[in-house]
Amino acid sequence: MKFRRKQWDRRELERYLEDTMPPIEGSLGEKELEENPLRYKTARFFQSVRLSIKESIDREMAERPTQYLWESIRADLGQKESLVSLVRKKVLSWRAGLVMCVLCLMVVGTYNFFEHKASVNVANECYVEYLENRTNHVMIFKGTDDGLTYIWLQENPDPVMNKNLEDDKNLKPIHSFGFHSRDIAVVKPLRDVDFSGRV
Amino acid sequence: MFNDKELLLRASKGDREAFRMIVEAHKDRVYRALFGVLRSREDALDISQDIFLKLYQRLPKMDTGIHLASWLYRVAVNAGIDQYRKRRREKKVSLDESLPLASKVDPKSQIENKELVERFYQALSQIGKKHSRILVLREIQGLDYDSIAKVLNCSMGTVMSRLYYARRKVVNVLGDDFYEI
Repeated sequence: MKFRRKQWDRRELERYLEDTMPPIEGSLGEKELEENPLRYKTARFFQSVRLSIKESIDREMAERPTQYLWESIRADLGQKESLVSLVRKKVLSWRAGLVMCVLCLMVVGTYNFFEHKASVNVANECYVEYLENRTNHVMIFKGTDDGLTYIWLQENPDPVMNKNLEDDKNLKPIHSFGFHSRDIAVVKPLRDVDFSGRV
Repeated sequence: MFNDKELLLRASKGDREAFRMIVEAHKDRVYRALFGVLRSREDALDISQDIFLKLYQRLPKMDTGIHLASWLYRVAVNAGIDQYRKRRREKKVSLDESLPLASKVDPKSQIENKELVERFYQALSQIGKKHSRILVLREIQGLDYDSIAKVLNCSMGTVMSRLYYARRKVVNVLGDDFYEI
């Protein structure tokens, strides 16, 4: 689409430049008009655009389109704030729940810790060693209370044998290690036991 | 009467009434900036609302010493240009959507002006954002150089230089059409 050539009143344009622009721009515009006809055309084009747009915007503003803008903003803020307060309430209840959980865990943990600590202490005060060869399994337990060393001996540690052994009522279970001992003997202190040969 | 700084300070502390006063004081300016670019009441109102909500969310962290009008203008113009370009990409804007212009002149001139303005808007979407922004401020919003410098936070010399190149770009984009005007 082509625009038709239109005649402009140059004095009108100069007046426009002087009226609406700061002095520096006005003088520049005038200087450009004198020196360069293309600039004159450019200025004329933009002046026309500016006036046309301004008129349309002024017409739009006269209808007061923003009259209820605050109401819609307030409604939007209300929705968001109610959402935020809901989330906050939820967060607060989550926090309370979380604090309760932490407290419970602390109580249970503390109890367990001391319980565990007690057993650990016992374990730490003992010396337990487990040895095995083809025919025998030996567990050595060095007690602290009586200063004695106990040796549990299990012969023929074959699973089938072990099953049979489990049926034997004379066997005493060593539950912490999961196997049974046939013989429990009180022997010499551990340092005196020679494990290099037969048990 | 409160100034912007006082209102910002109060609003940042949660004073809803202060925020309402800010909105009432600046809503027309923001809307005007957006409507000038978008030429759609619905879009301009939507984005105006978004801008004020954005301001509200930023209030707690906002520097109360800022020039609020400039900040809002800058945000509005940027949002308007972004939205306009987005719409252009989606080809939602056509010549038919352009506004009736220059009602005081005869119908023939109205059509000419309408086409002229439409060409300008088309060119605006084809030049860089930096230049389109300054053209929006000058040619659409009609701000003087000093106000543009405040809004863009730059010197008046930069405004003049940028405007010169922006106008030249528009002329280049219009090509032969420009010489037919």
